Amino acid sequence: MSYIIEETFSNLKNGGVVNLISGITIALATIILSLLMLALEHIGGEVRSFRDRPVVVAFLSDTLDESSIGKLKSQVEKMEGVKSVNYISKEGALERCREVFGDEWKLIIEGLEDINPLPASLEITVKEGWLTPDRLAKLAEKLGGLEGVEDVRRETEAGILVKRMEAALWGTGAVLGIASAAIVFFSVMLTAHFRREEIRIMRLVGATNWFIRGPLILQGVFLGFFGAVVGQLAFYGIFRLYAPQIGISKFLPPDRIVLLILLGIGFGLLGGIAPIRRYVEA
Amino acid sequence: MIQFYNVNMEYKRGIKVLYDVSFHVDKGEFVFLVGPSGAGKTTVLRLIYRDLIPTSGEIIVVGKNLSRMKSSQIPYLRRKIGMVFQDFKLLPHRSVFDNIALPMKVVGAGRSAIRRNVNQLLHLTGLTHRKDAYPEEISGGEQQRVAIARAIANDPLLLLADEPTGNLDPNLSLEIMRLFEALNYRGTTVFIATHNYALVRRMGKRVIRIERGRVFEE
Repeated sequence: MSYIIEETFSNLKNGGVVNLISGITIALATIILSLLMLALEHIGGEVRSFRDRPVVVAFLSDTLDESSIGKLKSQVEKMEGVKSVNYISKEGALERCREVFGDEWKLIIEGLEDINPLPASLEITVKEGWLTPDRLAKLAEKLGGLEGVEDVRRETEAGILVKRMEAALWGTGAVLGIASAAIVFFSVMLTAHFRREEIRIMRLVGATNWFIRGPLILQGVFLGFFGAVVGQLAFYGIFRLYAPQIGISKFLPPDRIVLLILLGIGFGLLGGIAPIRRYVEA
Repeated sequence: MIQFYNVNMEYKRGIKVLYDVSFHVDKGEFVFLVGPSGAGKTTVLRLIYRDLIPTSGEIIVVGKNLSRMKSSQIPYLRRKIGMVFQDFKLLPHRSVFDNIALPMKVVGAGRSAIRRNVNQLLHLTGLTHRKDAYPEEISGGEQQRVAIARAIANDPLLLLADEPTGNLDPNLSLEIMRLFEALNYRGTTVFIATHNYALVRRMGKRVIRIERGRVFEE
């Protein structure tokens, strides 16, 4: 075992620039992945709140009586894509405004104390697959056609954009991971190529395939680990420098940091198991 | 120790190098394989350490039938065989000490055992003062002795040598042969391929002659 470790460090030392480039690539990939993860940590919270927030609001006519409102509510509840419906009365709406505006509310309502200008409404949350612009527009159109509904407002497309961004971020992460593995792969291949005569001699004196491959695989693992740790440290430095300016105070949680380092090791390992059969096989 | 049965060897491009070769080398023997350059001596050695597979025929080495040997078993066969190559095959970026230690590292020997054994071999081959030198810093004769020390590092059952005196002066050649003889007295089977007929005659050992891929017992 000590021989394999000695050999690994010898490979890393003798690999020079090639190994350095591999390490830097993994470090850069880790920085970008860390940035994406941090963004997702913050945006992810928004996405989750979208799923539970009413994305469509139907404002009701003041002329509707309680039984008509009840019928309308149950009619909306039965509509396709609707997850839940919450009725907000005129008084409820007024109360909310008071809570939101606090003392400023008195200035807004001055002279209108006896009149409540706010309409009653049905706040509608939709099912998972209905958070798309087309489906929300269709739902809003249907709601607008119902008797007693005066106006329909739907959320902007922020939630959907966030979801798309999430997918794009993970896609970028996957591409970066594969690129890192490919660079480690070529680095290990080059080491095996430069050492082919040495590997042949080792085979001739009775070295097993794993005795020869061990240091090369460990080389990949070490490059992955080293790159990921350096990348994390660099990203922490960048975070400390710029986070206060963009109003973020929370760094990546420990499980994400561990995950990124494991990813680095994983991609390094993947690269380390390079197709070096022709060099190592007896 | 070595048994060849009707071995034929033809390289990929159709060049036939061995014709129906059969011979035996018993355990504990000291045998020379002599013949001119290109006669097929190196091919015979490469077949013995399973670097080549014969086109036809059977080869049994250290009790193993090489034709039926799996690739994964080859390293374990080679650990029982010490080889001295014509071109030495030393690791250029390793010191003399590390080159000799390599077969012991391969079998997982401990650090102190390696140090002790390598120091003994350095003493035996007269290379103690060169242990930290790199192959390119030492003479051809010294490189030859490093290759021999490496070949016997694991106390092999069989020692193969391909022109082991090719780069040495007559006195040193005889000295190396005496070293092989000493190893043979300890029980190691020695099989040496050479075209140094004078040395072979002087040693007075069993000789197998090879000419144009055919073997004759002398």
